[in-house]
Amino acid sequence: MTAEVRQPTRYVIAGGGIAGAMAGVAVATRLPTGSHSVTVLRDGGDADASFGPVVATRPGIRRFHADLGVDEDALIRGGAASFTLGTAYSGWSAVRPTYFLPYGDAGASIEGVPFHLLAARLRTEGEKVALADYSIAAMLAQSGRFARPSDDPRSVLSTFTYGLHLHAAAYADALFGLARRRGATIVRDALGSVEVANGRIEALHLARGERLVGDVFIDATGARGALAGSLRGADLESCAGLFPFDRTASAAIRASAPPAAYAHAAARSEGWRLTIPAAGIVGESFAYSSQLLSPDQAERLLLADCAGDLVSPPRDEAVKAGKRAPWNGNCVAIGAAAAVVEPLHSMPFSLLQNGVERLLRLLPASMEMQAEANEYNRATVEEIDRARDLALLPYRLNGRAGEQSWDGARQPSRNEKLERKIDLYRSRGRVPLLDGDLLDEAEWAALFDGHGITAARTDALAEAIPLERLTSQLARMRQVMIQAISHLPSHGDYLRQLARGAAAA
Amino acid sequence: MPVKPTPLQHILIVGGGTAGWMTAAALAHKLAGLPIRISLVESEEIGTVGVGEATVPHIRFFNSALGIDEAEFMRTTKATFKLGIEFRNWGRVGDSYIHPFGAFGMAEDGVSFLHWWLRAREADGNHALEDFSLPVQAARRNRFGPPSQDPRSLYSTYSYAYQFDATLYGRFLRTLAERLGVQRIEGRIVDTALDGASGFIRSVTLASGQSVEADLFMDCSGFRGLLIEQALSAGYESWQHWLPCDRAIAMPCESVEDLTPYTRATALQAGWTWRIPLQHRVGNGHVYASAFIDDAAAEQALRDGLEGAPLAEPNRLRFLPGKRRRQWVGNCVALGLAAGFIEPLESTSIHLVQLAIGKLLELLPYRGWDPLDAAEFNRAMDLEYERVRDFIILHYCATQRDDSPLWNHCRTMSLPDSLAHKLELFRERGVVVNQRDGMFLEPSWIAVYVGQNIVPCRVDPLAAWIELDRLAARLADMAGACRQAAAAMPLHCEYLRSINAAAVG
Ligand SMILES: Cc1cc2nc3c(=O)[nH]c(=O)nc-3n(C[C@H](O)[C@H](O)[C@H](O)COP(=O)(O)OP(=O)(O)OC[C@H]3O[C@@H](n4cnc5c(N)ncnc54)[C@H](O)[C@@H]3O)c2cc1C
Repeated sequence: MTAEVRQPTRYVIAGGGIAGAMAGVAVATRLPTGSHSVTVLRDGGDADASFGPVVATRPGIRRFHADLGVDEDALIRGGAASFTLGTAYSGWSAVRPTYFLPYGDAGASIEGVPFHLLAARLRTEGEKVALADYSIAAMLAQSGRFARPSDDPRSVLSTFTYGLHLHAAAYADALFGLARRRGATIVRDALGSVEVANGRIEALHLARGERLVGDVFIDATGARGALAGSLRGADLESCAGLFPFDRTASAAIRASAPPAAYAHAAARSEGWRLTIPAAGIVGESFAYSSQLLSPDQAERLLLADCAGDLVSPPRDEAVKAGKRAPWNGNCVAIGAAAAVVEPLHSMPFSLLQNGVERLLRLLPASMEMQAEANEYNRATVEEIDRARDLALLPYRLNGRAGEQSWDGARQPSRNEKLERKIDLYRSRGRVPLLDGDLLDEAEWAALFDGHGITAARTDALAEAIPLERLTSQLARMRQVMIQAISHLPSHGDYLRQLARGAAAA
Repeated sequence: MPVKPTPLQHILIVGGGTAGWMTAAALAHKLAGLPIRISLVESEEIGTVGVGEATVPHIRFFNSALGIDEAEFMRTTKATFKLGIEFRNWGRVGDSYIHPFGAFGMAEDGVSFLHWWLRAREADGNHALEDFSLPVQAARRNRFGPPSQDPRSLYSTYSYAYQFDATLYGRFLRTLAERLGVQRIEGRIVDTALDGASGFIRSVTLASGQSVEADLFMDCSGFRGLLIEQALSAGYESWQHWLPCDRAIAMPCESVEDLTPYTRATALQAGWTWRIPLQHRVGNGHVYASAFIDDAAAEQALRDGLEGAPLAEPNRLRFLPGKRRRQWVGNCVALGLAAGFIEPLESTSIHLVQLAIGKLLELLPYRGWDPLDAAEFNRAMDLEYERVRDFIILHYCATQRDDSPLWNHCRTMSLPDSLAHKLELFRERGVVVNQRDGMFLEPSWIAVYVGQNIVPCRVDPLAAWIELDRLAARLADMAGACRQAAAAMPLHCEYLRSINAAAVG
């Protein structure tokens, strides 16, 4: 039945950055080495093109590493990764100067009523309830402490999680090394041209003359989509006009102190700045509008606030927000080659990771691979669209009145799905989740809350719980949390212990 | 600052069938802390639909949230345990498979168990998929025991539901609801008064002349949709093209066979019959398409299949498969048969009632009415109904039967795009489309696909590497473990006896 079908066995991945490295590890780990070949074209100097020198990831990265046997401790010891508990946001809202979006729970539901609705109820009773005060991750970030979460579901320390800040070049190095040890061939060269026949890629021609033949091609070349773009019907669909900022300046600064275990996204009149501290390096990027600033001005603004030596010269790039049908013929585009979305909330990385994981679930079992492509495209495009809704949210809700680009961004969008979320939250604090949504309801609520949006009315089920019960339960929650984290080491100490190979699990 | 919404003062539930009393009990329990009055009108003269005996595992959460003691519930409603549904004659005449409440085997090395099984099957066709399901193995032996909480135990790999006397369950919930303060009004509604300006329902009038006002009306009046359709013209979307059955005859009989811990659905020429074993009798019914068989022949077919003497006159029912275009209109929310009906093949109706109650509580309106609540409720429920619909249609279209006009129609009919995509992906690649919403998860789809002979034509390339000898040995071990674990469980009838004894003692 299956014998006569020729199976795709030769995988060729193009891309020298973390996308290529992740795809390389994933495919090389899973595919049987005897029968399959994995070749990665690691084109030089491109390691951080689409992600910047330091990349913030959400907690999903832990699953990726665990599933594929990537040793997280080794990454941290080697300086390729450090811990992150969430992102601090400042300057986005007129009423909340800063807020923190933590990883893991903020509070616990009571009688099935989500915590943010309980908090809203208590606020109407005059109580000051900050969501972050009930989040272990936020409390750890604030107090500069860190330890990995507990495995014991009864412990309050099991209620948070963490992501990683990746030093992109070091992480790519580590993963390429791992891919090679798992049987992949890493070719260091540059892409010359793509050989296409009948809507499919036959081979890649490299600058030095080599020809890489394959059955399946994974395009991890970033926004240029060097492989995907060579096929018809895979054109980039631009949505650049939706976002007020169209360029990014970025730099990496050397750092000696232990990194903070969170990222910081600061809005200012000309754009917004993202700071991602990692081991020995801090990634800085600045999203701005080319209508307001020249690249020189942007670079000056970027560097003005940076204390420390530059690791490499600053870069400045146009950001062309858009997406394409990621799987076309025998070519699967991942990461920025599939979609460019705003880097807030680590969405580009989440899309990349999910794209790689989805590919593993749908590895083609025949040369035709149409069924796989259909499902891959359906699920991926849905996710890209929801990530874009999310990316629009901070603009849509910004409180920076009187500033040109920000004022314009506040208009209701024509995006019905996003507007419905905003409307329902404004009305009663609920957020409808759709297929493809990457944040859970509590995270959406924390974003709305951080932007100073309060629902017009409290939740009936929250009202049904006696007030004394709510206040006493929250007080107890807070007390248990403070107690629990008071024993934990500083982030720096934890990293040092880990470096000595002695960190408690 | 959010305001406290002015709560509803009076909720009137129209109808005292399973839907009505489930709603009454759940609302009374959840809203106990609020000054909301809840009443229910029902008419003994009209009565209830009188069927609806098989459930899915979620009902246990419904019961336990109400603080219902399982043993007392089982004894009072003459309930039995249910591990799944046996489908006979669906793929081909003579076939039998069980759709269990549990997964088949275990995923390993990133490969779903289905594909390990497919791979092993290429080499030798010894094992049926059901050999790797403990609940199926237990069901085939008429055994039952409660699942384990320990995730390492094989006994944690399944869940269970109940089969109960619907009338007794209604009465049981009525007692509970009345104890929680629900006021029951006996009477037939003869008129509905609408508010001229808003179109909202103001009151209903009973045959006695009594008029009952309320803020929120829950239409649980059965197929007729007394409020939602007759008064508010919500509209009905018919799915008869895909689900040709539009009539049913129900008839309980004495039980003769062993007490099975599962429901049976046997496909006939122009429909199918159910067999639901209860403690005191067996529920039977014939669901058929009036286009393909007349009522007398349908009744005869039902009688021919009865295992024991009939215990009641036939209960004849007519329906149109589909759902209301809007299940929430103005101040009226329809639940149960008033909201829509997808035939009872997978025991989904009561579960959809439960889902709707949960959604309504999440979106409980207030006096002031924000139309967003209704819009979100309708969006979410439409999605649930459509996904159940696709799953039910699968049972009809995935057939090789060509022995009657009904099956010829179903085998060749055009499908909803959403289902066609799912089917193609499974057929071509053995992957189940997974989505955020929808009550049936991957194992259920696999059970029906494989049970009805839709076997993927390709094996996951990741499963291709394993040595067949090793794989065969592993599978033999797993099947052996399932067999042994099933044989060690008590007989269903014995386990029930022990539960009943405990309830009395
Ligand atoms: C053949 C068949 C088999 C089924 N099998 C299953 C199954 O195995 N599992 C499952 O989950 N579901 C099953 N269902 C569905 C299940 O029976 C219903 O979902 C469930 O019983 C709820 O029905 P209901 O309460 O909405 O309607 P009904 O039981 O019809 O109740 C309607 C209520 O409204 C009242 N009423 C109506 N008009 C008036 C009026 N004018 N004035 C006052 N009161 C009025 C009636 O008196 C009654 O109390 C089956 C359905 C059918 C048709």
